[in-house]
Amino acid sequence: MSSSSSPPHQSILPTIPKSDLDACQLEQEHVHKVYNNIAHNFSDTRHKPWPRVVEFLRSFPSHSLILDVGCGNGKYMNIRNDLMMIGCDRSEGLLSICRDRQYQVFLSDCMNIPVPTNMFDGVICIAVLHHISTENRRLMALKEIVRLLKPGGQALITVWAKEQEVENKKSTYITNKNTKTCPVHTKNEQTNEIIIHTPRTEFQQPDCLVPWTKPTEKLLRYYHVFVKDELEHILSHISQVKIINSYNDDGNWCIIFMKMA
Amino acid sequence: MLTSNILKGVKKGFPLKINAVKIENVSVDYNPDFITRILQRIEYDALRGAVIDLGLNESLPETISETIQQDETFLKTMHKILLEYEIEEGELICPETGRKFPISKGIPNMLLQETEIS
Repeated sequence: MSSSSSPPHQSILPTIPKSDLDACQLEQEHVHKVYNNIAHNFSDTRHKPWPRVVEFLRSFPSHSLILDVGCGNGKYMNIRNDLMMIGCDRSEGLLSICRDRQYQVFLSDCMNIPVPTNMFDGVICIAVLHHISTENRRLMALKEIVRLLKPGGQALITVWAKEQEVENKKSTYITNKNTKTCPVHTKNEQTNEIIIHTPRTEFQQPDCLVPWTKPTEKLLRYYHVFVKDELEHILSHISQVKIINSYNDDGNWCIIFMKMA
Repeated sequence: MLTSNILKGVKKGFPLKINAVKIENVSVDYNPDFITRILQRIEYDALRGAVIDLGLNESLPETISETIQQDETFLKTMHKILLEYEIEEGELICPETGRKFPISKGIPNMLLQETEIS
């Protein structure tokens, strides 16, 4: 497919998935494989709990049963010692870090979560949905979260925002300058390739690949960054959902919703 | 054991069966209040079934009454079962299809194949 005028060193980028199978393969290559590869380094950089997630967890009565969907290295599993916290994630590497910390976790996709309906008092899903590559799959994940909540239960979902500057305020992500830059690829309209994002800059497209640099290789993580109200829009397809709160938190769109009976 | 019990109520109302090849014992601080609360969230029959499947040397009554839920000995046994037995290697088995979900290094693998997703 390459034309004679394209630069010789240009690598072939994945394209926006058109089918579920494409989506699976993209996520396998540019989410799951990468997280398993970088698990320990990633975990080292993810230790500070976000205050508003802590605030959400603190709002639950003692002994509430909470599921952390996409628990990663278990950052939020121990915020309170009087909650029953269970975690699930797609990365064996990150889950094994959870096990080292003696958390109760299981390996699962967020689109098919093997727990009973109406079971959990609360769910947190922090920085997870933005790794899912089609709107349909993102909807499936949210439907699962709604399903497993008890009526009256609440979930907090956070995703990376496409808009890194909101109301004239720049997020930490684009404020902290990074001296390393990556080659900029502009979107090829004909091939529908997913572009490589330049870290620490505004997002040019909602679907992109974000580099993670290791000493020996550069890995690319797939992201679908969300625009304002996009979460509300997907949730509007699910009945039984009542939006409790919706806000921007330093470069992330966040939503708290309740499952209605 | 806590995760395996939460997962056990999965398929069409029937609990998954459980096998273990390697069980470890850990020590966890006993909190009777916590155990009493968990009891209300779990399927006791499924848990009792799991204890029998695993051949654990713990005797559990067939049914639990209001009084037994306050019995110290019973609560301590539940604490041990729920929090101090860790299935390191084993499997969860769907009673309808026989489909096995491996447990490896204490982590149940509940990933479905493409063909299994409706």
